[in-house]
Amino acid sequence: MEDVATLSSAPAASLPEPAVAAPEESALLRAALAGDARALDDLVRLHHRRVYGYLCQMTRHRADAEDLTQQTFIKAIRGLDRVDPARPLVPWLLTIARRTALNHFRDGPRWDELPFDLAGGEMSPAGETELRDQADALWARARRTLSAREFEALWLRCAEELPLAETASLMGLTRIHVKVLVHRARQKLLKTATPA
Amino acid sequence: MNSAPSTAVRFACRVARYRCALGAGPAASAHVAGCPACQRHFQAVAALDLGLRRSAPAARPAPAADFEVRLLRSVCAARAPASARAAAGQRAWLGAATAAAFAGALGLAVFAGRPAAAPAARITPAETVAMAAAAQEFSSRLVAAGIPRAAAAVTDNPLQHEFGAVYADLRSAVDFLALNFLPQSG
Repeated sequence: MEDVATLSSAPAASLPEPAVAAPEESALLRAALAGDARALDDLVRLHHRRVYGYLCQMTRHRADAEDLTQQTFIKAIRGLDRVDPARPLVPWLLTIARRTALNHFRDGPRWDELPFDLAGGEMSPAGETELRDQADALWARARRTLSAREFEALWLRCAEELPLAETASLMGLTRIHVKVLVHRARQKLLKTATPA
Repeated sequence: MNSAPSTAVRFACRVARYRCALGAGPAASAHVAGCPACQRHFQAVAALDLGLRRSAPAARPAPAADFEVRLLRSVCAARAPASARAAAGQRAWLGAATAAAFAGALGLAVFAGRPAAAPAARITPAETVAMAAAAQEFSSRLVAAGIPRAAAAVTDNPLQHEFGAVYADLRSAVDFLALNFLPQSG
């Protein structure tokens, strides 16, 4: 029975659920709130890759992701005084990033209709080879197989390792809905991995 | 006949897996405990999660080499106007406070250094009579000197009556002012 419980809850339990900010991040945030420009730059350096990576996955376009990352951090700096230094910064940043991206694409094409352009501009032969290799990778398969919502939920839970509550809050869904999306995503991925 | 039990088992597995994924129920756990297929499924799910987490850094595209520099520059530019606005606000506040203090000090100095108002001069009845006589004389001289000459110049002019009316008005106005605003004699 204990094994069963471990097995049944393993997928969710294996994902970390950080409740408090890392000490380094918390100290940087307090310094930035006190007006330390260098601490603010360090915070940007610490998190910009995650924000950029998330936006790349959502937009599938490097140039858009770069623009949106810049907008995200500018908005974040303007609203920094509303942040609780005791809580992790990443969920808040990703929430801003998501809203910024949604506003950006409100009148344009949907995320899942955008052409795949992660290589950006003209693609070299090496880039094409790399892209083919990546197409076989797990996340590339997830991108092909899953709906935009399922992919986003899976990315936030597994790649960004956000807690369930933060993921639900970020996506504007209930926790159960996020669990269902992740469950469906897993089912689809397992199905595509299994040879017919 | 053979497919019915198989479908039922698969449906039960599906329900149990769904409920377990949602973190529900001992009944689902009991099913998984006795179902090798479901156990294999959850092992596969755990392996999948592990694979997803391990491959996430590779799936996260690296930004361009100069992106960090550009980002920090834009962040710095966004931060600068805010501090400039704050400094400008402080300067404006200081300027206003200085001007207010200066105006206050000036007003205080003027108020403190002002001599006491002189008491109203008493006018004697004789002076009142003299002032009234002076006003009458001024009026008479004005009429005698200016208006008749002008009237003579325009004798038989249609405007003569107008001059006469102006004279009468002027005279009555001076008399009215003298009567009402000069102190009464006696």
